[in-house]
Amino acid sequence: MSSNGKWQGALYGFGLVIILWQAVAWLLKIPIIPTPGAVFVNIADIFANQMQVHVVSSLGRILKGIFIAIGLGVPLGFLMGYFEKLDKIFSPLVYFTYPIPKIALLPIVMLLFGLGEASKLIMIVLIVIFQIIITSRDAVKNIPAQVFRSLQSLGAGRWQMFREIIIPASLAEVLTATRLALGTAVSVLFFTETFGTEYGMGYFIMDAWMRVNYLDMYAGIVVLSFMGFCLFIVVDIAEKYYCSWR
Amino acid sequence: MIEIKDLTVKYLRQDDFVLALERINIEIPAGQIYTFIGPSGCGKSTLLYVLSGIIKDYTGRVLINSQPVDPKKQRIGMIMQNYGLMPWRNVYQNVVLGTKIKDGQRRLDEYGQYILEQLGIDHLLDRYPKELSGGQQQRVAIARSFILKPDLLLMDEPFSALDAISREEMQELFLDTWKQHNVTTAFITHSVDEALYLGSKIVVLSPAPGTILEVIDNPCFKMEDMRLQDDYYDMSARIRKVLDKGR
Repeated sequence: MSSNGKWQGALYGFGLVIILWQAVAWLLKIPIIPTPGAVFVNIADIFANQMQVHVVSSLGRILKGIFIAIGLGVPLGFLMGYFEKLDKIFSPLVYFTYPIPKIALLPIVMLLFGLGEASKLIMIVLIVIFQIIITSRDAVKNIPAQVFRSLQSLGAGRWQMFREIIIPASLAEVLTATRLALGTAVSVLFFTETFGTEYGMGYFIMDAWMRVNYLDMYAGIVVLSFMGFCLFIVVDIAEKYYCSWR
Repeated sequence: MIEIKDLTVKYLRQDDFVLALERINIEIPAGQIYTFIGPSGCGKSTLLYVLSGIIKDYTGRVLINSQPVDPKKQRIGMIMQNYGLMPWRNVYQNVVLGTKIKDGQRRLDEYGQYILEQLGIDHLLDRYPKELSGGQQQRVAIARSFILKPDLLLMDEPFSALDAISREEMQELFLDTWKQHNVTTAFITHSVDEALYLGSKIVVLSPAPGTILEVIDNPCFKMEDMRLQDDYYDMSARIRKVLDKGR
């Protein structure tokens, strides 16, 4: 899709959500569903002095989590894709642990690593890294043998194979996996931030809920969604820039 | 010069050794172009993979300029049926890939520019492979190999994916470029016509396991309007006869 079309699509989706929300708010007229207008006015009021700090800490956790997951998962996936032996060692492990609902491990992680930042990051990494490992591995496996042959006949070394073929060939898939991981990471983040912290959008939303301040709660949900959307866009732009050959 | 002595290649398929090539003996003198023709599955490509150092598991002796095959030391240009271009690199980057890996040279010198002009792709440098026609992609692959100034050029049915008209065009263009630089070349084909047009000698291989049936001197090589000459028909008939006999 062209970038113009994408923007139009996003705008259309946004408009549709607002219209539906407005309609429901008008129809039901109950305090737990405020109008979008009231929520946006509230965001403008409280963002700078109340929400900003929560946005920053949530964003920090997501970025750290994603970077750690990519930093560990992509190299491991590449190596598994390239070296058959490594794949044989690690794949059964990955397949066996992949379907375990990692979020259920949260109590264990919290017991082992405490209630603080470490547990939150570990949860994010634990949940998104599998997608990233498997996608990177399969991306490497799907590169046709012919492409490697032309470089082999030039006498390229292993590092050159990685730089000239494996990294550029799998970048698009890695970015797609990152985008999927981001969606998951935002959900996990919300969940982990409801425990053991006073900073983060998860905390903000749950706190507003406890205080029966629905306007703040909605403001939190909208801002968290917008944050996810912005991260999506960043990945999109990266993909457009690095994968223009597609 | 390429020397192949008693080359036998076996490979493992489902716990069974399959003989791909059997006792191949041939020498390709420096600056000559030999075409190898044979039915599909006769191990032609296997031969090229041995020469390019991709297959290392064989018996016999294979020497390039009296040295054992080693793609790290020798300069081997390889042009494949599906061009072997990197889809994520544009034409310029693809063309300099060979010299970049061999010499760390990422820029085109005058010679490179000249080759690009000769092959008529000097205006396509920013394009990606998927934006090019098959013929144009093949020119890029040829440019890359010539710019490398290879000790040995290996071609694995490079024109067989092209339509008939661009194929003849490319054969002519390739031969013109080749004549100027006289690179030692092994050219694999399954087309009698191509073997005659491009080979100073024609090596006819038998069906699997590939053995050399005959090495034929080719009087048609470098002949003007080859396809209209009597020699061309006589030679075609002769090659076809050898191929049939091998069956």
